[in-house]
Amino acid sequence: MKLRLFYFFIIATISIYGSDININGLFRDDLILNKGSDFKYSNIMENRFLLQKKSAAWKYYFDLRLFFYSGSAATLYGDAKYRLLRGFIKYYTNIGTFVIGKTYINFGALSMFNPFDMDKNVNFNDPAYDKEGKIALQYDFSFSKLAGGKIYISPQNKPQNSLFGSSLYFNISKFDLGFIINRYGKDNIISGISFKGDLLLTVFGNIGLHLNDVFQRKFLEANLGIEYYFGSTLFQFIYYFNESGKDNISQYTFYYNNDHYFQAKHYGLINISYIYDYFLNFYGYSFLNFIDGSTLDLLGAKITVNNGFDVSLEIFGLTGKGLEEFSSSLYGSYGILCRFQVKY
Amino acid sequence: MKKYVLVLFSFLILNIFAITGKEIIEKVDKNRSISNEYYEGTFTIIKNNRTLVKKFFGYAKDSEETFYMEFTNPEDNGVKYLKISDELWIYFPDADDYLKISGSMLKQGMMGSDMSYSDMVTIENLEEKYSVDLLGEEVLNKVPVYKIELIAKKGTKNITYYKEILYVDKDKFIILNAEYFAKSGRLLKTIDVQDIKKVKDHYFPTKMLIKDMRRKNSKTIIEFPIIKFDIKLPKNVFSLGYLKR
Repeated sequence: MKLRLFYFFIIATISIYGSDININGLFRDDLILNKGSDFKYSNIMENRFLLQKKSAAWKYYFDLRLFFYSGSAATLYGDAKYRLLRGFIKYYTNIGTFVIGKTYINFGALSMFNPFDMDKNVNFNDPAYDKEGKIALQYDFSFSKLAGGKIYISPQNKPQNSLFGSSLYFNISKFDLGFIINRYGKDNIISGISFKGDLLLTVFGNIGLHLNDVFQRKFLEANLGIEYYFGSTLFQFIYYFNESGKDNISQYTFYYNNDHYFQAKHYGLINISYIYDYFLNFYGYSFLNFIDGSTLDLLGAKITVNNGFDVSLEIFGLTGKGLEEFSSSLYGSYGILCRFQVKY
Repeated sequence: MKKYVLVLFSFLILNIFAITGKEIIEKVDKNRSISNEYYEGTFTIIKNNRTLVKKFFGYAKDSEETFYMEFTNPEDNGVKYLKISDELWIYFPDADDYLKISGSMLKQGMMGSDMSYSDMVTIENLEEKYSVDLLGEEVLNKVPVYKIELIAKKGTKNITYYKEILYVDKDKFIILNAEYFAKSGRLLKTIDVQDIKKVKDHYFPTKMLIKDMRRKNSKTIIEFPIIKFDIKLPKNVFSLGYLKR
């Protein structure tokens, strides 16, 4: 692994040197202390490399992330790993945009528990963490300023396993609306609608019906959210329903990972953020499993020290017991995370 | 007697030719009436002794009723905004997705600055939503100005500020200073235009100091070092599809 990373750096350095490719990136170092039966310390270092080149007719985009682990995290993931999140070329034509490569194929209204997400895992230490793309060919088109759609195909090992989907979006009476159909796996199709707009509060949601390849109903999956700012404080609540989800804790499959996938039938997310100013903001969120009543709660503060340099401090805790999903006996009862992050 | 007739005549002449608050606002709107534009600029956010600089470029049309804005500083590189009428979207390059900014979120500071999203979306025809009153004439930083009071008309919806006091340059018909008030009378925000440039018969503020009075020791300077009018716009630049380019 280390040797492969070394080769990658040599090749990348030679390729980029002297070219006019735009290089951006991010360095993040997470220091995590977990309290289980005893204290466990982890360090997760992430280096993000963003390469971009744009012209009027095309765009090249490459997003590679290298992770280095030490402490408790190293026993779980090893010393290092890499993830290519994106790597694509976009080509603009009069009839639309073609994308080829590893690209993020997103459907529905951007939100937690979005049933149309192809990658539903959540990193609890950073719920807004970017999703990994898929190798695909995508075509984006527009009917008007606020209406358009996309079609994609992602070939797999056998033609019958290929992924493909399409969506249309509109803006009607100041509401963003989307219609989606996506075959995200063999015998797995999801079709439905998404929306976001204002009533008294901002409301958004995604409702998807899962079907098999002959369009027989399998199950319903949906999220529905509201949000409102009281001055500088955001209050957001999202309810998630998965008809095929487990109604009993004995049916869960537990695993310890950076990413987490939700398995129960009903969840809620409460998110409260307070923006003091650009340099300081506070946030807190709570994931609630409505089946077993367990919660994962996090309180944090982010300080912008300087242009592109942020420091965050988070305290998180789990209230579940025994085999409940957010159980302190499985993950530790609480933890502290200190994050140093530089964007360049 | 002759003296009184002369005074009366002068008074009548002055009143006939005196400009009204409504006419001043019409002239302000006329000066802002630009078909399309290209701009490059910076936000400098200052809090106590800390400073952050954000760079952007963009296009606008119909007197900024519609605009596209893209950030280019490394920390926000590729973050884009699209405004069409009173609707606003933000595009996040890492997620490769856009989000509608709506409702109460519009009151938040744009990119952490003292300028709110509402300030961006409510560049409207002032006379439509406010009753206009000329309070008088003053001298502001050695420049003669009209002092105008705008109060929201009854039943008007989607207004950011209940009352505005504007100081309009008597010669150029550009707002040099503005104070924005809540219905309670509380001063919410001030804008001080510090530099003006004449481009193709239009006066354009190229440097502004914005203070959100609810934030302590905070201010934002917006500068437009490059501004071009009547340019050729990129095809479909004001569309959701273009945000993802």
